[in-house]
Amino acid sequence: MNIATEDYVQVDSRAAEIGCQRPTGMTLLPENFQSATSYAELRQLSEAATVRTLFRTNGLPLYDVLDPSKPIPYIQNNSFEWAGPTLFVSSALVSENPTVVTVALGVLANYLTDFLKGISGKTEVSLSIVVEKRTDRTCKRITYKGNVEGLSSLADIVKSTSDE
Amino acid sequence: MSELHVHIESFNAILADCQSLSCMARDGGLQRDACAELRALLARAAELKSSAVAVGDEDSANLFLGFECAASSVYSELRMWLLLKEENPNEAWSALIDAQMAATSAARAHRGFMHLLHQDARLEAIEKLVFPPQVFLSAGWIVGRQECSICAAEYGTCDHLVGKPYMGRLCSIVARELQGNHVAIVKHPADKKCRVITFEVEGGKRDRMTWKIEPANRTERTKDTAATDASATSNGLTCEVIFATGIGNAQPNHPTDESR
Repeated sequence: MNIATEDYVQVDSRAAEIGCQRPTGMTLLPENFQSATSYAELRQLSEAATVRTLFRTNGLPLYDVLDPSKPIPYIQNNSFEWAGPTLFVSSALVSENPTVVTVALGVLANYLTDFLKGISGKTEVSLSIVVEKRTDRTCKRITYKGNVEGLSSLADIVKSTSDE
Repeated sequence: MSELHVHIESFNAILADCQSLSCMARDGGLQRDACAELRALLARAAELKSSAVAVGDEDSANLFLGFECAASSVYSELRMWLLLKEENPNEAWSALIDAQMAATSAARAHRGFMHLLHQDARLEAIEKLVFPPQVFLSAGWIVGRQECSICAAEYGTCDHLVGKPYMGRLCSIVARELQGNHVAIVKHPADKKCRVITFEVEGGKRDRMTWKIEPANRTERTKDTAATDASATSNGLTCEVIFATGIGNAQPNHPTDESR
């Protein structure tokens, strides 16, 4: 299991800069959100669509930064590792509903346990969570790579990062 | 005993009999007979699945999907042994991967096939012990649109999830408006058929499986009807590779007589 934390662009201002809607709660960010020079350049991981369905069908509110009338292409990497999309969690959400990240990670882990069963060899998942800090609204990206069981450990890291 | 349980008992008995022939030492004639029996089982399971779908019995439909996948797995493994006996290791490799993928699909199709996790572990051991190490590739694509294989809606807007069974079918993503993006050498590919087949050496091309060198002017490559060929060059190495074209395609393989 490997968890790394690094600085991330301020999501709120970056969203405005690139023509995305400003996120308020939990949202999925395009993979090249930091580096894309225009909205047309944005790309999302194939698995983002799965996460949208999982959260919607489990009653987890997911805000969309993308314009529904301007869908962006998907990146499909055919590796056995399940590469999850980048999840953004706003500081307001962590304050108002601190358990939502725990629930979201649980929903994801349940699906992945089923999805990966019967697959031979080393099966890893990866997921990034961008957390907005409560104090100054700067952002940090937490990147996880490891087994499904380890996903739950991210909830506490999200909380402490938001409180920094 | 209900009609459903009679079918389950009968299918389980056939699968157990056929599986007992799944090793190199068993007689080829018996293994071919077992393949014929499994093809009949596949046809019967497909019929029963259709009947279950017709009356909206999703659990039974998924159960028979599981039987189709389990039978496909045993059939493909038997084929692998037969192909190895015929000194055709490249095709035998494809059959092994079919067997692995079908075992995975069976475990996903219905909770009654969770025991196939052991079958998958066995097939992985065969991969390591019987075949030489392979160099795997993962193809990355830019996809304009992802379609749900169950309802044909934009995947992510419907409630279906990849890898889950729905009325006798496993959900997968149908990629539309594809553009090639990259090819990477990976340890754990999604499709182990996506691998380096040959590489250039002095005097011709060496087959990574047989280690034989085929003279450059008469090299014959393994043909796979479900795959497309491509050439790739990396770090001064020219090689031939096979890319599987089905993405997330986890439906049972219904073999025909030709595939014998």
